Amino acid sequence: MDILVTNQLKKYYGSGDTVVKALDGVDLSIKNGEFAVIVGTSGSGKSTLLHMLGGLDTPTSGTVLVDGKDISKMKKDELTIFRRRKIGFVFQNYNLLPYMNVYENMVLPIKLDGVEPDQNYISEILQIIGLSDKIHAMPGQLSGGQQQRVALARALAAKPAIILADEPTGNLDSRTSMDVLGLIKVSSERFGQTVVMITHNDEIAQMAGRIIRIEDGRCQPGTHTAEDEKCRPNRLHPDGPGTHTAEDEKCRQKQAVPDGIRPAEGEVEKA
Amino acid sequence: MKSFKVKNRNVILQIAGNTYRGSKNRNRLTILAIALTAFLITVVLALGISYWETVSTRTLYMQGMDFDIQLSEPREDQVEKIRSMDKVKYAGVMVKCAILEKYQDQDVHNMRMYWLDDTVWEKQCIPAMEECWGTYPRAENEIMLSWTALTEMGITDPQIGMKLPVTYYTLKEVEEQISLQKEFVLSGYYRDYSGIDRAYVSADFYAQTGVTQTDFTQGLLVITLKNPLYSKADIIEIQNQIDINRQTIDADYETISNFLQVLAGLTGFLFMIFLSGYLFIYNTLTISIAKDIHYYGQLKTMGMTAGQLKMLIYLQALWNSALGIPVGLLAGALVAQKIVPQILSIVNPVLNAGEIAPVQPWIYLVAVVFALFTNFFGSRRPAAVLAGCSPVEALHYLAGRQKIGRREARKEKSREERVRKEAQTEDGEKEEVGQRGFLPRMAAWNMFRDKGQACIILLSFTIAVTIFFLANVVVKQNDAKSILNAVSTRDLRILNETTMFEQKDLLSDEKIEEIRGLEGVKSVSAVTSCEIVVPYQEIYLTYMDSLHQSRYTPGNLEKDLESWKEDPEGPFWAPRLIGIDDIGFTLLNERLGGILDQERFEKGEIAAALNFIDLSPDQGLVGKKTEFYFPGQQEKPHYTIEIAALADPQFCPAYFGGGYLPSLIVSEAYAKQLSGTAFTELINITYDEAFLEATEQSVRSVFTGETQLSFSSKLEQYVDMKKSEDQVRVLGGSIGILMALLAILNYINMMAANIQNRSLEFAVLESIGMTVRQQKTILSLEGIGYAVISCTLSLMAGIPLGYLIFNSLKQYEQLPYIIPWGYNLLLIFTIVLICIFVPIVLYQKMQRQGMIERLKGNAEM
Ligand SMILES: Nc1ncnc2c1ncn2[C@@H]1O[C@H](COP(=O)(O)OP(=O)(O)OP(=O)(O)O)[C@@H](O)[C@H]1O
Ligand SMILES: [Mg+2]
Repeated sequence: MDILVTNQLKKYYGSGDTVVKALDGVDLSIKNGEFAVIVGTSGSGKSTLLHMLGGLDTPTSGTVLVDGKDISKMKKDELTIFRRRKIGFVFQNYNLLPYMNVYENMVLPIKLDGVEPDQNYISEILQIIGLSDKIHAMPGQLSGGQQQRVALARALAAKPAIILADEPTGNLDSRTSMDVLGLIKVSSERFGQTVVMITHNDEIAQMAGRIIRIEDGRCQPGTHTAEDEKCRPNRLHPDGPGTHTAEDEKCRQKQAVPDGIRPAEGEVEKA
Repeated sequence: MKSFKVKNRNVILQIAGNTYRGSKNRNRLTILAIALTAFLITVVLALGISYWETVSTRTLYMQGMDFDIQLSEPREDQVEKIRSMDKVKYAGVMVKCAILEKYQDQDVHNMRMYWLDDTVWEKQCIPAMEECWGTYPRAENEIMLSWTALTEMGITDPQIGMKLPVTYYTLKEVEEQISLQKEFVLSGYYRDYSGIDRAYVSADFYAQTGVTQTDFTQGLLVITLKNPLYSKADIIEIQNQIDINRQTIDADYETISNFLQVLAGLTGFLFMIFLSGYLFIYNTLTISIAKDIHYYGQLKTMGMTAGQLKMLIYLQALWNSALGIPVGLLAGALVAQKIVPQILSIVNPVLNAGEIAPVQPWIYLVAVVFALFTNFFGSRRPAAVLAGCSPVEALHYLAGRQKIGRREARKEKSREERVRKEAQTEDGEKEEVGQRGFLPRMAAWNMFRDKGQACIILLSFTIAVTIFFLANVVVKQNDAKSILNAVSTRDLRILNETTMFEQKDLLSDEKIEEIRGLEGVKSVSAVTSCEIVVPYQEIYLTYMDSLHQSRYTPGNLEKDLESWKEDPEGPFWAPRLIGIDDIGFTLLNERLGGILDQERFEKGEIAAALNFIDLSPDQGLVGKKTEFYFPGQQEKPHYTIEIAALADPQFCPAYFGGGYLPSLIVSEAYAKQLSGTAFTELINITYDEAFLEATEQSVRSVFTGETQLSFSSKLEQYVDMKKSEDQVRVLGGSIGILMALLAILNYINMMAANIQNRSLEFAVLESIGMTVRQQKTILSLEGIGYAVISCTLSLMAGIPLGYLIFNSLKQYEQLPYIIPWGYNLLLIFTIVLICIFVPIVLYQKMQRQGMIERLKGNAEM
């Protein structure tokens, strides 16, 4: 089942001679539970694509289907509600609310839905990203990398079906990058989430089930190996969490998981 | 070095220019705020001052004379002394020397004829005249008349030099009044607003009459003081120097406190207008201070010095002022010069537009200085904040949270925990349930996020609603109908002018019956009166003593008692016997607090005595029996009646007064029984529906052609009072509406800036799942919050303040304090609506761009 599908997706800025084709006919489908990364040079249209996938921006033409629904046909508020329930988005520039502290920022989307946040889960996330002691800090009091992690924590807190992350590790050292990545992995496995992530880091890209290459607003074909194809996370656990097969397990080991991506249970509790 | 500096300045100019162009939206708001404030101040000052000047001139015209105090029956030595006093500006003598009875065959109801000396005429009368034609009488047969006098005589087209054959008598004290005939020549006439019929005569004529300025009640010394704000002490000082004997000084001892009250009211009002204007500009400037500081912080990191930054900031303020102030002044001038006079003359048709005082230039100056000052003062804040922090701090600056010290952070923490605990205990299953608590909490927090903004919004609304409320209290207090209804119960009083002399029975029982039968007439109540004689009795000694100690002293007590004993029928003493019917009794007894027994009153066992002046109500008379008889019947048996109460003179049911002894009010039946018939002095008529023209017409038509009756009608009074009521209404209303408008504009302006500032925040909120509806809900909740708080505050302030103002302006005791709910609820309702919808409309207008655009901060600063 394809959870994210685009058809001839185009986004043009401006018109006439100065037109900028940020996306120029992207056909893409991402399967449920897949872990995909988008790579490409700066200005190639990655963020634009991710925004389109998340229903944050309206395409010039083409459609985006999320879970089979054409989001361009939704009313604005309908889309917003759909998004806050289904999609967790990590912005390239974080977009934290400056006058709310870390905790408030994290739980805001959940509260907006009229649901009480899962406190345990939130503490857990904060522990994994190492910000338990910053729960009351204001964004202005955090470093860039810390803010980035809060943005990720916010996207995960509502346990969305889809996580769209725009360079979630862009500001992080390699060790913290791995922690963050590990969190995304754990989360996606635990809740069967589909992940689409933009990165400039080849090492991280290599860990993904699938690599989507964007150049000049177009998807480059043949961007992933046959082995990648076999090891797509959706094949690892097609029916959601807890249904790993032996083959999944094998594939995962092949993926050269570096230390620290997935913290040991003990570590989580200690942190 | 020098050239470097110049270059440097150019750079600043360039950056300022770029910055200025880059923040078009906000500059537009600021310019609008400056222009509006300059405009409003000009208009309000112009309106207020022209109105003030116009009204004070009019008050003078209504007084008919410009003076401060009066001394009765002045002796020459007193005049000399008073004229030489330092305090005194002018003192002139006027003498009432004759009474004009008839012009040709036209009864003119005892018009007074005065002689004025040059001082009174030139310094005290002319300034108080709206217009004056001709000259003051010089020849013995010359006369000058007031417009009202001419009307009374039936002259509509006066010609100077026209002959006026009249009947008059002089006020020289003689045994018998002799009516004289004379043909006067009109030397001039004048118009003021006093509504008094008056004739002025020459010095020669005055000399002929034989009346002197020291004759009792005829002569007056009219004094204008150098300082019109005088106190009781000033008067006493004058009084002590001139050896007063049986004379009265008439002065208004409350000039200072009246003046202070008006001054306080005016100052308070101006203060509020200035405060609102100040808040208006100031808020526009400081509301996006966070953004400014962020921006200036960036410039600072790039190496701009504090001095250069200040220059940058002030340059922009200057440009805003340069654009905003002229626009505001121009609009203000237009309104003040062209529209204000129109409004005032519409409000008060007596004032023609030309008469209204022109706008003085200093008003514009005040508006300019004020707008400039506020603009620069408001601009100073980012500069001041910047001076106090490092560039990095500036980059992290957040409005309203700039000072997160340790203590505040801790407070923050415990608050969060509390909120969290609350949240945990709440049942968040359903969307609405969760939201119901969450959105209002967020809205409440947003409201006070920027304390300054919250204060300004709340303050300006509170002030506006309070002023509106107070204006309405005053308007209500001046409502002619409610005043008239509270002051008098009758709709029409018809007075028999022949009561004192000829005693023509013009208000016969048949006529009264006829009126009773008219449609629309509810009741007719008659008051009868006749002269009686009260012989010397000891029960009156206390009363006489008190009377002689008062300012209205008739003379020497011993001598007066002697003359009373000798001649009790003398005009000085003889009181009147006033007969009242059921209706009259009910009214009187109500005012006396129900102390009279109706049955005994009907039977003629008790009477109410009438104080000659405001002596304390007893004077040893209550409960005593008094003797009296009818004039010329000294030999016949005297009547006795018990005095059951001593009533104040303003309770007198009759119009004409008697001598110094208290008149007796008895039942009409008893009066009739004593004298056989009773002479009806006046009748009071009430209508089924007050102020009904048709009823009034039909009543008056019963007496068509009768010149010796005078009518005093509530309807007529209403027509007169309506003018001043309308004035107060329009003035109060326009001031109230101006203030409300200012507050609303202020709010719109503030909200526009607020939403503009929050545009990134809204985009972020939307991106993480806040629906547009939720955003609008929050905005309107914030609006409701502001509206509810400020309206509550303004009622809390307005109701007691209104009561104070009501009491200080109170002219009629009978009028109760009524809270003017009607218009206020309307205003409050309007404000609530505006508070809810303005942010929503603004949000829709301002947040049109796509979310990503807004997130990228493409929205201009
Ligand atoms: N609002 C806009 N107006 C005009 N052009 C735009 C706008 N937003 C983006 N672009 C252009 O669209 C193209 C794609 O931008 P996008 O942000 O998707 O790049 P990206 O791949 O995310 O780059 P990076 O790796 O640097 O984040 C760029 O050439 C950019 O200049
Ligand atoms: Mg990008």
